[in-house]
Formats: sequence, structure tokens, C-alpha cells
Amino acid sequence: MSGNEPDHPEAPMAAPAGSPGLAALQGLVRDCATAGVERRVLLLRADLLPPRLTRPHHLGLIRDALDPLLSAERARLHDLPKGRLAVSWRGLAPALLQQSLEALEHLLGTSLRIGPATARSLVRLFDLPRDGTELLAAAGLESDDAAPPWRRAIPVAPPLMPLDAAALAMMERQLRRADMTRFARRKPVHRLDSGQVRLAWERRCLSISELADTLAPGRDIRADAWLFRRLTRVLDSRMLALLSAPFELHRAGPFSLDLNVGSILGPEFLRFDSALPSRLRGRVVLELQPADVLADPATFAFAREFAHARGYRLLLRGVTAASLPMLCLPPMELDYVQLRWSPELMRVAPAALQAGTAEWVLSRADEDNALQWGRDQGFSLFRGRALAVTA
Amino acid sequence: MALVLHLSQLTPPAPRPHHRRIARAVMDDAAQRQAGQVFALHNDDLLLLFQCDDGGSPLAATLAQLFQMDVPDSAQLFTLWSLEDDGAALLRYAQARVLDVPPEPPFAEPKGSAQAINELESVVGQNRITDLTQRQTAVLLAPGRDARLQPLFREISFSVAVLETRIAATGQAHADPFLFRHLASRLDARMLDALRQDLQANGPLTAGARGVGPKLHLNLTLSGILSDPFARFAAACRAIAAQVAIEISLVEACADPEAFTAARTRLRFAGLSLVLDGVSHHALMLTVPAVLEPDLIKLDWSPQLPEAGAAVAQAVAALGESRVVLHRAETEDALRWGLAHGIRRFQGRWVDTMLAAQRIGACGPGRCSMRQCAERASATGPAGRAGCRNPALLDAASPLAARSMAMA
Repeated sequence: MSGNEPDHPEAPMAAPAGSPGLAALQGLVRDCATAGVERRVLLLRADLLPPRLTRPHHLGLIRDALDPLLSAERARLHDLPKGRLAVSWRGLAPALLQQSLEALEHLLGTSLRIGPATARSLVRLFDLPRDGTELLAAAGLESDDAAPPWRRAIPVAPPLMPLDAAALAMMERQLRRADMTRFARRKPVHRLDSGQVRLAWERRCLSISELADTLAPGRDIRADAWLFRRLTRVLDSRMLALLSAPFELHRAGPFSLDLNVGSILGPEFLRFDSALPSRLRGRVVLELQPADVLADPATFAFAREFAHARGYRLLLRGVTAASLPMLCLPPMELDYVQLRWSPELMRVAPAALQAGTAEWVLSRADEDNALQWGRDQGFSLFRGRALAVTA
Repeated sequence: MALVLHLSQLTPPAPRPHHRRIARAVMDDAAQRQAGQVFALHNDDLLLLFQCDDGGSPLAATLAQLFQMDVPDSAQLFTLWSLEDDGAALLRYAQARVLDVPPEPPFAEPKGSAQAINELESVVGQNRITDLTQRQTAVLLAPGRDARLQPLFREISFSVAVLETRIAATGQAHADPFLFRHLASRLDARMLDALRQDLQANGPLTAGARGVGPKLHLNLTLSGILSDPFARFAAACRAIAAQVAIEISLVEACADPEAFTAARTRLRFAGLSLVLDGVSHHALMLTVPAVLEPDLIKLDWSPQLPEAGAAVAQAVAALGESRVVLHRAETEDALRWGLAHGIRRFQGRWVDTMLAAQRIGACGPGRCSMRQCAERASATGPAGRAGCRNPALLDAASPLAARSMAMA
């Protein structure tokens, strides 16, 4: 199981109640009102961005943009609930303000593909003491009715502790004893051929979210990408052991397995290979991640040749519109390349879809526009709800 | 028929356990189908005796395909013997193997444990940072009769060997690449805080960043660059327009392109250069590194590079030789290959030795060995430099500067 596609969209960041930043801002508003001191405040509503753009590194970029303004006299940064940020300072500091706004436009534009108008709409300026009440309302005391519709629709999950190395060690020990059968799942991959939909193979995997809830409750097992990848290696061996059990594949049809390169060369895979019914030889697809291939290309080539010699087919998964231009796919000598659907793919030139002799699979094809785009490119293999409904 | 698979001919660290395991599985499979038997020989080679009507070619083709990257010339990989014609020669070969020293019990690659990595993380918090870090200077080799080594940059990194020594866990850090990347991301925060403090206090670690000596290079993970400690470090760099470049591994960039783009934007905004690290010649063939818009690319030297053919040379030319640093340049062969392909930038133990030789020339012979001088120059803490009578020369990096310092 080397996959790192989350089962669910990322939950929006949790809003810490009673944040010190908000208390400090309230104090500033109060002091300005009492003493008649003037301050200017810039409020940045990062919470108005879609959840996919509010990962910690996005918020880090937004903070960077505010850096110039922090050079203003008596400048202070306030961390507010719901990912909002405020900078207060004395005087007007128009050049520094302009610099920060331009940096914000630039950072959001290049990294998050957000236009200048949207970038500016995230920002509001307040003059204290005049706008104190309005500022506090906008800074963190608004009711959820004011939040954008997508945010109201998604319940905010309780905060999870990130998985660390010590917790991983404990989880690995538990995994050796846990019964994997209840976590096993099958997901279809469909072939669309001359208007007919048929099952190409089933993707056999373990439900990561249920495993996490059972074995590491309260932990975010994807918080550290590399610890998660390590965990997938342990899951690989458990999945292979599960499939090697007598009668497990007795009536199975073609299927795919998500594996790490190292797992294909391990003793568990050899046992699985011995147990594989001869009628399934040549009909099992092994799915690999690009990072795993690139981490040790020589071992990947060795594993590929071994897999091909034993009749397995290889699929590179997790290729996205962003990673497609970075990869040179033909020399990888794959059988399939799985491209993850996103609207950004519509801007990819058809010439960029070079995969040698490999066949394309479009994943996350949940809606008609994804299906249509895939068909326009000549794809016939799809994962996702768009075809599952038809099938 | 007999087929001998010469695993003993593979370049170390091969044959690795998976080479032995899979080769054995493939040969066992052939033995089962063709009434044969496999023997593991003392020198790591595998011998298969089997009945064969096809001249052994399907098995030979499979083995050649499997090991194509490790042994491109299949003639060196295996030998096929006909028992009728070559029986005597095979017997002589087998007798020679009996005389070989029996192998050590199969070396099991240390399996990185999450527990060991957890302990390594805690070591970092308990030690002075300069006792855990090391540095290495990269040079520009100016062409011409009077070839000179001109320092380009100095990379500071954690010494994994030192870290492992502290918990007596040799081999644990690198045993699992995923755990190692995790460890690296945890080390980043400590390194960034230490360097920011050093930068603000005009300390010796960051002299290069302040323009005293070669430019400072720092190897960071994407999560390290997107963290708060980096924001503070970058602000300190911006404040003095520091000469700093950040090295990012190619694998990490390809694993999370979105985070990479965010990290690159952050570097550009802070005025720091971007270097792509960990680019093997195999990875160079499977990626398009130029798309990542790095200022420099560190191509790892490998003894297999000269055999990699024109494709690597074309890839280097396409990147632009002036953007390529030949990294892990441990031998003169590396230098020769680099120069033949227009590369002038080098980093590695060969460069360390050359710089040490020139320092010794400036310092005066007979005091230290080249190895001692190179090791002391790589140390960032006083313990690693103990025994050097001229520590200013260790910091000088430039042999020319070293020479003039000695003459002063």
C-alpha cells in the first residue's frame, strides 16, 4: 500500500477558540479606544480560501507576504481563529503596505493560482480607534452564518495529533497482530470501449482511514508524508499475507495491488506469487508511486523486470497535472500510467501525454467533465463514480 | 547444462539481499521446471545444474534483463556450461570455489526501526549543533594549464555517522529511506534555528552567508522550508541579503509537486537560490529536472556513469553544463568524466583531498596527513578540529587564500 491519496478531502483547519492573538487584538482595540491612540490594522481572511489551499505551507506563504509590513513602526502580527491573520502598525506606511499586497498577489498567484482580484478580496484595512467594533467582528467573532457555503457544509473535525516515530513503532507492533480482513476493500477500474462499460479489474486495498481509527485513534497518520510511506510498507506485507491465504483468491478476477518497489522484492511477495492461481497469472496489476520509482531507479528496474518475468503488469499511480511535466514516462517501460483528474488537466497540451507504450488510466473520474476529457484524449480506463454509476 | 550467475561480480554494495533473493527464486523456478538443482557457492555466485533443451537462453535472457542496470554486459553476469563439452572446466571452477573462504553469515541489511529513528531525533535535542554537523566545499575547476580550484559553496549538513554513534545504532538512519526523510525533516527545525542564531550573532557557521568565504548551502526537506523556523531563518537572510542556497532532493520535489512549488516560491521571495540534489544518472533519464527551474543541479557521480552512454551526456548538455555540479566526486575518474562532458563544478571526497593537499602545502609538510586535514576541515565543532595547529586555514577554503595567509 504505497498510496497517499486521502480517502476524503482534507478537512478544513480547526479554529482554536480563545486564541491569544485575538485577545491581544481585543486589547489593542480597547487601548486605542481608551487612550485615543491611532493604529492601522490589516486583516487577512485566509479562511475564505478553499480548504485545499489552506494547508500549513499555504498559510506559511501567506505569512511570508506580510513580512514587509512587519517592518513598519510598532508592527505586530496577530494569529487569529480560523486561520485569519492581522497586522497592526503605527502610521500609514503606504510603501510597506503596497509591498505586502504585491507580495501577496505574487505568492498567491504563482503558488495557488489565485487571481489578483481574489487575493485583494482576502484583505481588509481598518483604522483604530474608529473601526474597532467592525475589526473584532471580522477578526474572529463572526457567527458561522457569515462563513462561505463550502465551509458551513463540512463539519470541522476535532484536531488530531500527528503520527510521530514513537507512535509509528507502536502501530507497527499492533499491525503484526491485527486481523486485516475487515479493512480489505475492492474498488473497480472500468474500461469504456465503443460505448460499452465493463470491469477491467478490481483494485484491492486496505481502508487506511478505518485502520487509523482502529489502531491509532486521535492520530493523523498522514501528517508526516514519510512516516506514512513507511507505514505503507508494513501494510504491503500484511496485504500480501492476506492474499496468500488459502482460498483467498479462489474465485478472484483480475485485480490490482498498491505496493512499494521494495515490497515486490520481499519474501512476502514471493509467497504471494507462489499462491497465485495460474488463471490469474498475467492479470494482476502492481501499482507504484513515482517517488518510489525515482528514489532508487536501479531497484525499480530490477523489480519491473522480475514482475514482468512473472507475468505482472505495472502501473504508475499518483501522476497529476503538476507532476506530469516533471516525469519522463516512456523509459520507465510501464504497462499503465494512472493520471489523477483535476480541472488543471484541461490546460495540459495533448503532446505532454507521452507514456510510451503504456495505457492511460484516469482516476477520480467522478464527474462527466472528467470522463469527457479522458475520452477526448483517447483514454478507455477509468476509476471513479462517473462510470461506476453507468456500470 | 550448468549456469553460473556471478553475483560476486556486482559492484558493492550489490549484491544486496533482494538481488540474492530474487535471483535464487528465478533459478529455483528453472530448477523445478527443468529437473535441476541450485547451489549457493562460497563466493556468492549461484550455480544451477539443469536439463535443458533450449540452450538455457530463456533463463539467461531473464537474468540479463533483471540485472541490466547493475551489469550491462551479460557476459560478465553469467556463464553457461555444457556438461558434455565443458565438464572439466566446470569441475575446475567448482573446485576453486570450494577453496574460497566460506562467506560470513548472510549480511542482513539493517532494518531501520521507527524506535531507533525516534532515539536519533532525541539525540539532536541533547547535543550542541556544531558537534553534529559537517561541511563540505564544492569547487569550480577553472580550465587551463594552471588549473585552479575556486571555491563555489560550502554545504553544511548533519553528520548521520556522528548521530548514529551517539546511540550506537550504526546503519539505522539510512536503513529505511522513508524514515530517513522523516528524520531529515525533524533535523531541519534544529538546524534552521541554530543557523539563524549564528547568522544574527555573526557566528562562524554562517560566515559564507555573510560573504566571508564561499556561499552557504543547506539541504532541507520541503516540510522544513514550509515551516515557521524557515520563515524566521529566511527573514534573517533577507535582512542582510545573505548568500544562501537551499538544496532540495529531486525525489521529494517529484513526490509532492504542489509543496515543491510553494517551497520554491518561498525561496525566491527570500532571495535564496534553489539547488536540486540527489539526481542520479538513472533518475536524470526518468525526469525533466529543468521543469523545476533550479539554479544548480547536483548530479551524483557513479562508476557506472561512463557506461551510461550518450543519453546522459545529452541530458547534461540540455541542462547546461554551467548548472551542473558533479556531486560525490570521490575519484579522479569522476573528475575526468566531468571535464570530458564540460562540467567544471565538483563536490566530493576527491575535492576534499585536493583542497587538503593545497592546505598542507601552505601549512608546511610533515605535520598532518591529508586525511587528517580533510577530516578536520569537514568538522564544524572544536572536537573535530582538535590537533590542527592552523585552524584559520581550515576555514579559508580557497587554497590561494590559504597560501597567502600562510605567507602573511
